[in-house]
Amino acid sequence: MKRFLAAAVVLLAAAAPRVARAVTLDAQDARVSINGFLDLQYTYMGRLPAPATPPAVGLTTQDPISTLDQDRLNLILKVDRDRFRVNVNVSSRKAYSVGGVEPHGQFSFQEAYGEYRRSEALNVRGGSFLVPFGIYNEIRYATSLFAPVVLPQLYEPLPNYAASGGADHIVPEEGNLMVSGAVGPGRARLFYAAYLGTGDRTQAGTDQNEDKAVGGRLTLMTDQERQGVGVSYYTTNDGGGEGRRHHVMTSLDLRRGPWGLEAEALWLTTTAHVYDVFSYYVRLRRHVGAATPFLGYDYFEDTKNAIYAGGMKRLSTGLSYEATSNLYLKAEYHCHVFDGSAIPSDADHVHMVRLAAIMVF
Amino acid sequence: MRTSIRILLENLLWTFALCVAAIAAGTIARAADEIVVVVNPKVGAETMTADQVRAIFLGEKEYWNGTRVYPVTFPEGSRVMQEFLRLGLGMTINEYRSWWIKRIFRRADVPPQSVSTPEEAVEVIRSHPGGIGFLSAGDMAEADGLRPVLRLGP
Repeated sequence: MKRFLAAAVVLLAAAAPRVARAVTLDAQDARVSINGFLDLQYTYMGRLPAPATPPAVGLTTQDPISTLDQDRLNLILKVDRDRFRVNVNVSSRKAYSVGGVEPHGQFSFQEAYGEYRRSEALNVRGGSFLVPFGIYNEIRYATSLFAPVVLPQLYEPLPNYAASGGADHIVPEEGNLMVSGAVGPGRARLFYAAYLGTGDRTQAGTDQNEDKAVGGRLTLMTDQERQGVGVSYYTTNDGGGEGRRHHVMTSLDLRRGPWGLEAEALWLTTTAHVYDVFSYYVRLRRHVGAATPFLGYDYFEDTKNAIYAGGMKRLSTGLSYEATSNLYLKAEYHCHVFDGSAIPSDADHVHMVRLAAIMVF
Repeated sequence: MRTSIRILLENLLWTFALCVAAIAAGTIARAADEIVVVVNPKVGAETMTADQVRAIFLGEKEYWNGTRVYPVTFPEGSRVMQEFLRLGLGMTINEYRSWWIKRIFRRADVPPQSVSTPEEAVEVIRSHPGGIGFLSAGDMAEADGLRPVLRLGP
């Protein structure tokens, strides 16, 4: 523990004088670069409602948790040669954790794909990659760099949702073959993406789906960062008890001067009526020098789930601070309010605090 | 004794004034340097607007008439880089660095190649069909074979 803290402090302090740099190698025809980031997070989560342990039925509560994690370490290798690009994103999670899950820290491939960039209107990507389903889908691994550390509920439900039989993921995870591009004149353009995926696999590695996953996204953009109005659809057919899943999402991402407004709504249904999720959020932020305060409101409902059948609201506020261009500091507060007669009265208001430091190189 | 002190003070004053004048003249001369954006002729551009140049160096525009552009910059500490960022992109070094950190992680983009000298910049731009870079006006004698497409005045 002490060695970990000392190492973390040294690493983060090393970023302060702006000495951390990416590695870039330039050859005649190709460019190779390696970038990455490392974070350190403290989380306090109050008493949550939870399913009772059988043979008891109904809901009980789980004790508050307080954890200190080295949550993510990502290394990103890119090779860029004319119209071809290879991107490999290697990730390690929870290399160190105090009070939370058992540390594992093994590296895994978060993304590994090749891309042919014919033009701005036509890119073809193959491999394994996070699909552009919502605003945060493609950058979930690095969200803590560019947004509040705690993701909206529709990207990352609270742990009591999965524990009470909720869906394993609300937004699609990955794709394997994609065609995408941006068309139209000037700054107002249409971004499109259509992708196929092998879908989910069982723990034994065998294919879990009766057919493959299909999805797509359209965004009317006002600049290259894909801000604007978007709509997405994704479907896959689980051969097990869920039947066919349908994910539908709409999004709004607007930036004007120092102000930014994000809002998304998502519907998830299955033909076997295992889940029936509706969730949305709104976040408003403003850049003030190196600081970015934000306000947020989330809603999450699953009419098939005992904890979330009555809906859960979350109010959020926090501050990001860019200490240097290599070091980001974050502080956030989130208050969750559960509705429903089955919710234990000592867990209907759940407070959460998260502090994070992220070093980029 | 009093006279010699006065002479000494006068000499010091003149020396100080000359130093200030020299520094001011040097600053004015340097500030008067234009930045010239140059391209490999195979890019096919005769002229570019400041907005187009900005989009290319910030990674927002990757193609010009179907050719993949290859932007070239200088180290962050160099004067020509700072002037280009100020005149061409309207950014400070820190803003430029932060911009590219976001692009690297959000879009998996690769930032422009950075070279050490004007001679090296010219060589890299010449060797890439989509090469585009910038030089101070005083270094344009080195830019044989490249096409100037935009002048950024102080």
